[in-house]
Amino acid sequence: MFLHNFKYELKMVLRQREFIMWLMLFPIALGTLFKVAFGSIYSNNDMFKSIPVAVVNAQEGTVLNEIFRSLGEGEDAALAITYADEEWAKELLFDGKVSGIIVVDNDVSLQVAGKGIKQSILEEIVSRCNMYQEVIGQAMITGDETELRKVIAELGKEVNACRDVSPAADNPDVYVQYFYNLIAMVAICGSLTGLHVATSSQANQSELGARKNCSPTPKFKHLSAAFLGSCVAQGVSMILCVTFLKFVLQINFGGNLFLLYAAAVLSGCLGVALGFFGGSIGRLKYEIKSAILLSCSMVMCFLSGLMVGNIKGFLAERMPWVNRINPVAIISDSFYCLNMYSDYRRFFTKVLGMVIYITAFIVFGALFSRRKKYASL
Amino acid sequence: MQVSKAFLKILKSKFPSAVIYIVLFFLVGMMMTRTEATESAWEKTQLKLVVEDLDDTAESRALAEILGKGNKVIPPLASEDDLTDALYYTTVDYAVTIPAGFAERLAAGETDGLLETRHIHESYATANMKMLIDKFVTTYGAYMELTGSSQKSATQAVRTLSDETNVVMLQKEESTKSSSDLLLIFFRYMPYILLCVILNMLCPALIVMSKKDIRFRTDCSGIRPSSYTMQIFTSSALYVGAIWLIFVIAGSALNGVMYTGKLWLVVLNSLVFSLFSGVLALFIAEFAPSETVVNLMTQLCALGMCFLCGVFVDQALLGSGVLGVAQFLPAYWYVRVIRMVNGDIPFNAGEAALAIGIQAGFVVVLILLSVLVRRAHYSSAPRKRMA
Repeated sequence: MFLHNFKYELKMVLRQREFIMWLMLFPIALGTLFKVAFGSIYSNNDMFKSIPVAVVNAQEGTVLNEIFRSLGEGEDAALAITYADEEWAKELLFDGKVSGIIVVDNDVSLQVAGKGIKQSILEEIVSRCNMYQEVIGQAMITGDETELRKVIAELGKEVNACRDVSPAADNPDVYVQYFYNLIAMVAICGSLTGLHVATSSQANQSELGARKNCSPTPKFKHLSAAFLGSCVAQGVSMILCVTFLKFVLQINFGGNLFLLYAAAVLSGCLGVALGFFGGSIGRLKYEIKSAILLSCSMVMCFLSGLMVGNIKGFLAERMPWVNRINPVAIISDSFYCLNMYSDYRRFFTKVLGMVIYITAFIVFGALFSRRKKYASL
Repeated sequence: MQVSKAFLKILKSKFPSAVIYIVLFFLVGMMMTRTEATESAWEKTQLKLVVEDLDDTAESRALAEILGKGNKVIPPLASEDDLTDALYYTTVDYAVTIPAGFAERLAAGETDGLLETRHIHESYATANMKMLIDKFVTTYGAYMELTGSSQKSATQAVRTLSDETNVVMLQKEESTKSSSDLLLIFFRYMPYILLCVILNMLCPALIVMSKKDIRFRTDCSGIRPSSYTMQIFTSSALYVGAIWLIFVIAGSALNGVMYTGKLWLVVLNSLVFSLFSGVLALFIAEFAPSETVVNLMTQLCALGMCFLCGVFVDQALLGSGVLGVAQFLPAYWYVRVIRMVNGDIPFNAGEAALAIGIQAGFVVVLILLSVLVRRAHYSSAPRKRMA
């Protein structure tokens, strides 16, 4: 009987062509839009590149001019310098062609039209120039020319004080998290299928439910068959979603591909379980249950960083427990852990979190849906 | 009025789910607003650092002092994993460990590999920190030549590097940045909220109206198709207006700002966008999808449009190609008006009016398309309207 119900559940899912089509189309369309929007943001805006700057009053042969020249030379130059007069420099600044104007006078000063990390780096460079002037000035006061030469040599010395011991990430692009969250959202959309599982077994929610309640099949059998059927359908759509993102859009998720697929399928089951749990509570109408599930899913997606990328970090600082209990955050974290950590300890912790949620949703969903009697409909 | 009455009755029956959508999406909007921060006068970008001093000497303390100036020093995190997460999500920009023996190596004139540093992104913040650290080492080295004393050199380096740099903030014109900043952030995210709420609420009601039973009964009645369409459109507009009003009033009340001056332009902008959302709902409902599909379509339209048009990610960060495509969507013009009022781009009344006009153009085009689709559906219906 279980297999019979399972077969019919799969058939029912497959016959919902419109829903299946949209469930597949959803990650394809959104993934493509994400790729178009974020494809080059990380390399173009976040990665360090020479900062365009205008230098006013620079005089040939001076120490300051040498400093600017050295900063603007080479492949990894810190500055992209345009030597200009004051008027032109302002024009460049307001047109957004340079991030700041360095004015060389008795002191070196900076003019900016906005605030940001690029301007802060320019301030750092200007402060360095002023430091040179001050130290050289102090050395000159001593009147010892050998000392002065030593100081200048010291200031010109190439320094590389930092030894990098950074953790190795397969793909450090922070915008990949939008794709993690997209997969998590597709998974959590499975809650609508799960909701269907719950309502199709309730006589007051659907005609099918009424027929099922009249039949001699034990509730456990038709519920578990429906749940498993929905999980299979959701699992397939998750596999298609990851395949499209990974192989068509060429998103570098990093980590082990097999585990990526496994986590995606498991997250799909989590979505179905959530829907089953939500649908089993109370006797509210299908539309209201669907509205609650969908709104809660969107809030969870928001808290996981689907709309505002840095929200997860923001929450980690202020309310870290939100990231720990949010199912969508757990799903997207599992993909993140695969990318960031070479050992799978944290990944399996997240997987365990998903398994606990799935078990809890199924158990409580089953508890809420058992022993429901319909005296009159 | 019969059609309006029936339509409003259906909307009323869907009121509980409408309240859920309004409350939860308003919550999302408020949270989005609160996670953004704004600023006005010049100040250096404050980086978030983790500094661990294992040397604990005058030199290491001097370096830690310089690193902490103008930056936010965060206490060392509980585990290496926490630090990795923080570096990835940029809640920490850079982590520096000053190892034991740092002062001795520094005094010996060593300049390479003195500190252990951690970062994930080869970003501007990373470059900035590297420059700052190298600057300290260079300054210390120069003072060592002058004074010959390690402690004195460290003190002198801190003094010299603490000098304020002269930075002038030039402005092309008066910026409108004020206490209305939070409200403007709320309005920036409004397209997503409006699209989600209006589409999720209006579409199901419109789908019920176009169900065969109701449609055939309406077709048999004496109501003219144009009157039917007009009544549906008017009722939808009323409903959209009510939702818009709720968000506009709640936005003002919760952000503690009254609408004045250019903010009225933002309000008008949001009204036109609300109408667009309403008309989009009418258009989608013409294809009579199931409610579940409407949910997916809503998210697809809302998320897709908002990401592409710079609602979630600043337009300044999006490439010119992306913005070129986004110009064919109303959310792009909506965000443009917000950016003008916010002072991100120069304000031009003509351009702002044009942006709102383009959104209104989208509304008109979608109305025409909806009417066309409706006519096509009616003409292909199995039972045609009786003459």
